[in-house]
Amino acid sequence: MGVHSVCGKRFLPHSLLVFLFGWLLSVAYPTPGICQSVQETSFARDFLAKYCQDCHQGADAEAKFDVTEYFDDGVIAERLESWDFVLSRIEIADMPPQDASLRPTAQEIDEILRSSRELRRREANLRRSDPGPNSIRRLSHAEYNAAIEALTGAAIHPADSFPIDPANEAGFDNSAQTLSLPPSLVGKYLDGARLVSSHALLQTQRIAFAPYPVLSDTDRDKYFVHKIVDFYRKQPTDLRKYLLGLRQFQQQLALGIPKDAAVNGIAAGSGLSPKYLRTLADRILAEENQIAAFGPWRELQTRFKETIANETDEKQYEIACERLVEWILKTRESLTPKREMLKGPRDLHQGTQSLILRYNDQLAADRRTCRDDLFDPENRSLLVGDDGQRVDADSTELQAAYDDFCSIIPNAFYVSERGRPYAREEKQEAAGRLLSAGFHSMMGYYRDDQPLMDLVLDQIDVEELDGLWREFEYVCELPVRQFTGFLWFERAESRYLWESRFDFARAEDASIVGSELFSRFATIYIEKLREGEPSSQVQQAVEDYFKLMRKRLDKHFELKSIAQSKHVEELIHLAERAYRKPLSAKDRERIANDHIAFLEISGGDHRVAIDDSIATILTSPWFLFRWDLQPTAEKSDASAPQGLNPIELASRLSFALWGSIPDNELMQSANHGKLASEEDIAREFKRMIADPRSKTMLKEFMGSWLDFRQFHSHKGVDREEFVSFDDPLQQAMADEPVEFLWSILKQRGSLRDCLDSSYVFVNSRLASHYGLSAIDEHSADPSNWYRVDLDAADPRGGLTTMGIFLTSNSPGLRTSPVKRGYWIIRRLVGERIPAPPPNVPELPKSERDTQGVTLRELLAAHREHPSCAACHQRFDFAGLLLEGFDPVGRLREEDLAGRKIEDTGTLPDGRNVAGSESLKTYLQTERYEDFRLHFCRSLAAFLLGRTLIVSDDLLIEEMIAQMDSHEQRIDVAIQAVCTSTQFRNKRGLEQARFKREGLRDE
Amino acid sequence: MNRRIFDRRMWLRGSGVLVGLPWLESFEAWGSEQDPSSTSVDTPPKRLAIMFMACGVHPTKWWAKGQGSDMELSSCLKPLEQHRDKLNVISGLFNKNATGVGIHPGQTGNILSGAALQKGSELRGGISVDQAIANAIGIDDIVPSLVLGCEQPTTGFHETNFSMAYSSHISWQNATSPVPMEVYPSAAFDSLFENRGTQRNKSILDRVMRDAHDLQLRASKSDQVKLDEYLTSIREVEKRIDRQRRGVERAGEKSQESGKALWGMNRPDNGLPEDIREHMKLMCDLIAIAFQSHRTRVASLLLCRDISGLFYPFLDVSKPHHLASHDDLSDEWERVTTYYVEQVAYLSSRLASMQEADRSVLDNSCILFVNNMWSGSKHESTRLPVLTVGGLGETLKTGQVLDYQDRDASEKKLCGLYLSLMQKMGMESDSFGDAQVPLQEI
Repeated sequence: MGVHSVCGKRFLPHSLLVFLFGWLLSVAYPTPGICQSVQETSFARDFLAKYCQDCHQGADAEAKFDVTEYFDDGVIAERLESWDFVLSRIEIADMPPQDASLRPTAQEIDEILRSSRELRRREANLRRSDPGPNSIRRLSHAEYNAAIEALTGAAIHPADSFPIDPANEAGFDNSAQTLSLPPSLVGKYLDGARLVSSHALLQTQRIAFAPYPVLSDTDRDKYFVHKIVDFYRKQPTDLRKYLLGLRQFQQQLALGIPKDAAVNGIAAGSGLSPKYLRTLADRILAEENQIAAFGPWRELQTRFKETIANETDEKQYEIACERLVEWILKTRESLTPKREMLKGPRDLHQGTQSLILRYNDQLAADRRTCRDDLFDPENRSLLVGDDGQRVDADSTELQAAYDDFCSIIPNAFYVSERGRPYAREEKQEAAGRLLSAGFHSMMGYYRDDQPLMDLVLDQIDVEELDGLWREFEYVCELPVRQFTGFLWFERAESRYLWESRFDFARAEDASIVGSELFSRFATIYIEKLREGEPSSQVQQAVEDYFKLMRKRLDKHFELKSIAQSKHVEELIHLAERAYRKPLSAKDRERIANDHIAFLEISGGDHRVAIDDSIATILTSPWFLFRWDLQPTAEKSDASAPQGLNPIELASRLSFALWGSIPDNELMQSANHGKLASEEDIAREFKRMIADPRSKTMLKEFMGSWLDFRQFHSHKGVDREEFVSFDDPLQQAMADEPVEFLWSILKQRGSLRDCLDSSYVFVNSRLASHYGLSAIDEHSADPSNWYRVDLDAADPRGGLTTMGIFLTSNSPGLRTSPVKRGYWIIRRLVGERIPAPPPNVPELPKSERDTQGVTLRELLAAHREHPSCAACHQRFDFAGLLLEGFDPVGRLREEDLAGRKIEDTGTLPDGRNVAGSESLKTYLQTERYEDFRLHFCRSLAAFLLGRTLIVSDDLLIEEMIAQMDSHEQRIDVAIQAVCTSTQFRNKRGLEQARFKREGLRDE
Repeated sequence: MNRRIFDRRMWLRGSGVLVGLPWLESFEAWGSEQDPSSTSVDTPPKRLAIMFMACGVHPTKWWAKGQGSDMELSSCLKPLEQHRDKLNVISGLFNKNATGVGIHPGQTGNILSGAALQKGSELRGGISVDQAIANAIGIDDIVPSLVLGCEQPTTGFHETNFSMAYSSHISWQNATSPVPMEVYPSAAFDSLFENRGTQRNKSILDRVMRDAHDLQLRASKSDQVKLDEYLTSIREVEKRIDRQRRGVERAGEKSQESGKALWGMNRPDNGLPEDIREHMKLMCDLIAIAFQSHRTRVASLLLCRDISGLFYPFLDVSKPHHLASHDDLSDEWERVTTYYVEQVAYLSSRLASMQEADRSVLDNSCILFVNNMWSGSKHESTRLPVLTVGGLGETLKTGQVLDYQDRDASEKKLCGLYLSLMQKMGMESDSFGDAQVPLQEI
């Protein structure tokens, strides 16, 4: 063992080196003929022979690396990636090792680097048409999750429970090299597909997906009840806002704005219904001479007029409006007809469905009507103003005036909660019983929203609301469940069915909702009712009940037969989107036939067959594989690169920019031949990069590039010491770099901002952690991210001082200038730094356990050791300059042991500086180009989904040139990749095959 | 982080609709090529069957004295006479969260979880003991758990403002969702014995394989490597499905040889048995053969719902269940209570007649009978009637009469019994529901 073996062990284990070389060779692009084209004697021969050959030669060469193979420029040209690795060791003076007897001069090193660059450039040019190796591969887990989300509209994320994807050499997990597919993953895909289908809601026209599994009745009910109630609650039914709008309206009319324009403008601006605003304007706003002679409108017109005249101050006016609304509501309430529930013969329970439905119907019908006993002497006090004196003279017209008022001001626009009407008022308990019909213990819902439909909603809203109720009724099988609930109740709670003549009817028997048993039951039920001599109203209510239920049940079964064929169409749509290609007639037929086959297997269970069809689609290789990356056999010249067709290009763009499948718009472009030229790509690029879906891409890219993919499960923070550190903060930290880069991208900002910026993007949680105040109501919600412009003195801005990097590079109870510095110089700037030797001494776990010395002093001692110094002086300083930030990234004056912070450091050029600002200045002025190169190479590797090869050098140059001519914008760098040769082409069939056979020869 | 971990069982737990994908995990359990049934028959698994009756028992005719085979049983418990040495009659246990919350649903939806329930339209409770066990040890079984019922669920609002879903479901897969319950014996039978789940997966994979072949036709050789990997993986999974099905069948055959087997039970007719007697009996049979043939280890059977509408003309009881329970000192209610105990006795006898190794399936199982009330007339849930039958693989002390009535509230938690059963079944939990300590005496 010679001197060099020590170094080999110290810096890279043999096995790793062998692996790296072997692997690098496998990706090298084989170009027969290159050897002959390089004629001059090797530029590297002398250097290698002089400094390397002693150890690295022959069968027992160190690290099994024989430099004599590289004595030929042709060989170097063929193995440029591995050569590049050799050079990097020479460049950073890591090889020959520090203690070697003979080491090259700086000049010699410069010379060999320069010659290599020339060779590399020449090679890149020779291979410029090579799109690079890209083969078919499965989706990464992140892509799989995003694709499922795009297909279903629900954030199901089945792959969160899959084993994590390994990354390739560039650090990304989206390349064929590392994405393998063991049997266990097939099982996971089946499980994942089952999970997806457990979210499926089989609606009348389509298959929708809920945000949670909807296997039980209660979960399905929850989904629709909330949809409907949410719909109600977001409707503009607050009269106060309309009164405010009316004043605006009057002002605008005074300015000469036409009525329609004014109504529409105000409604849009204040979120009001234009229809209802117009209606109220017609009733409430009246010129002096038009004020009604009597009735509630007269009173309201007068009061409103006074209010407008008296309250010029905005705030006072709002308060006055509130009082006005109080008056309106009070008046309206007293005008509602009084209704009593029907009472049946002895055995008919007060809480039974028929009686409650009849009562609900009456209340719903009364929403817009006025009581008709208004003019009875005892009710005259309810009349408004001096109407009481008019009763005898004008009672018909007066009634009409009250009717109109009640019709425009309903006593409720909708009812979203309903208690039990048969109980005493204080025991009705409406709160929380969303949409409930109010039956005694029975499941049942009731729709009462006609005033909202008539007065407020426009046609589109009406259709949406109708649709929600229709789907609720259908998907949740409301009529079936309501009727079987009825059977149970009439036996278990009521005593109505306690007779053997009813014994045939069991709630558990599915055929009870069929017409035969149903009508037999209804007949006997009504028969018994008659025996008790009910009032005609009660008898009518019960008969109507059975008619209604029969109608709803018939409708339900009718919809069912139609819906089932619709679902098969939906499967075809799902497959089309999942497979990212137009389906042939044969493909469609297959999906339909599969569904039939699954129906047979399941014994005719439609739901099960749909589940199996969904599972088949989501486990199909057309979905799971990036088939667009494989060369196709149809092309005539198998040895030439193939251009991607528009369909393939759509997938490529979408997976690159969104990490997901194409949306309909992109597929449309592709299908209509509008995705071919560079302009087409540029057009789609602009649309796609502005879409929030590109955040997914940024998250994946940055997470790997900057090594924070696993931060969400980072457990390094001592939460007992840092009590304010909680899960929401950890999540906010993980989101910050993505939100930051996303904002740059959106505003077409500069890459330079990554090194330092005059602003930060935060949510409320992070803002309070950073000591910034939340700005307004909007920013108080932690799901909103907003920009904060920093004071000049604020040390934050850019990536280096973000909480996530400062925290993830701190081991618990202390900072780690080493880790922080290494992260900046290695990860961010991309400088190559060898791995540390295995016997590095451990630093204390806490700043409090340093036995009087500071961490800084311990590190300084470490650097005194020459074998450590070489590396540490290259990055320690960067971490030391960040000492003003504590282990969770907050600014600090003292460390945990109470010592004052010292944040000085020595730059590589020997200058002594202090503080994070000087670090940022250094990075901006001295390292921007290194950083940019590293960024561009990482970005290209990520977007292309593979490790870079020599010919990609030209693309990197192009990215940099584009940035230079566009104020260092990030989007132009991304666009340069998407319009590049390598992105728009793939290797031909033979090219790929050749490579593989070449490999086997090795 | 709030990351929801995908639980594959949630879609197949409601045994009737879907049956599992056990082949992957069970591959380990079965071993690769050796006869998979041999190990499992030599050391039979422990099983738990929970039977639920609602609205209380006959309070004065539900008692036992003495020990083991000398135990003296009240009239309602008489049907269990021949199982006295395997019986525990336990009284006085309760769920704190099922008290002081009004009657019925609030006393029921947490019977197997001990969780506090939420009123209004948003359901919230806790995972039930059968599902906790299914999650931990049922994962390798064809059906992780059987969830059966003899009465359909309903979901309206009770006057206490609790959802009636709490009255309808005793098995909960998590805090917010009940496990869909199978009411049809035929469907439950199919899910158990047609291996429909594995058959379905196989037919899916057949189709996936077909697509992969299509794709392969157009692939370059290097791409074929990737596709080959995929095809091989699919084939591997299919092989496991076959192996697993063979394994289960062999286990079944073996159990058939070793005793009076129900294995050959005819498939129940489609639809619902007309008579509740037939219905309950079939459900018990299903649990028995599922246990015997190693298809599941955990079952819950809701014999009737809370506020049940079941009626018993054959017992000469005119009122339906719930209303009859309001008169719980009546002879009628004594007959109803006894009838339910007969169901426990029936399942006990079924399991006792099945031999495996040197014991019976009953010896390796525990049948747990619970009721949400002691007395239906008083809606009393401060002490519940509980029975266990079976030795749970010699881990359960039996032949005991245990009364916790006078103990401190902390010592009479029903969840303590659950925790104890969980541990005996091999789980390492140290708490369940509101209990941190297992019930000692059993």
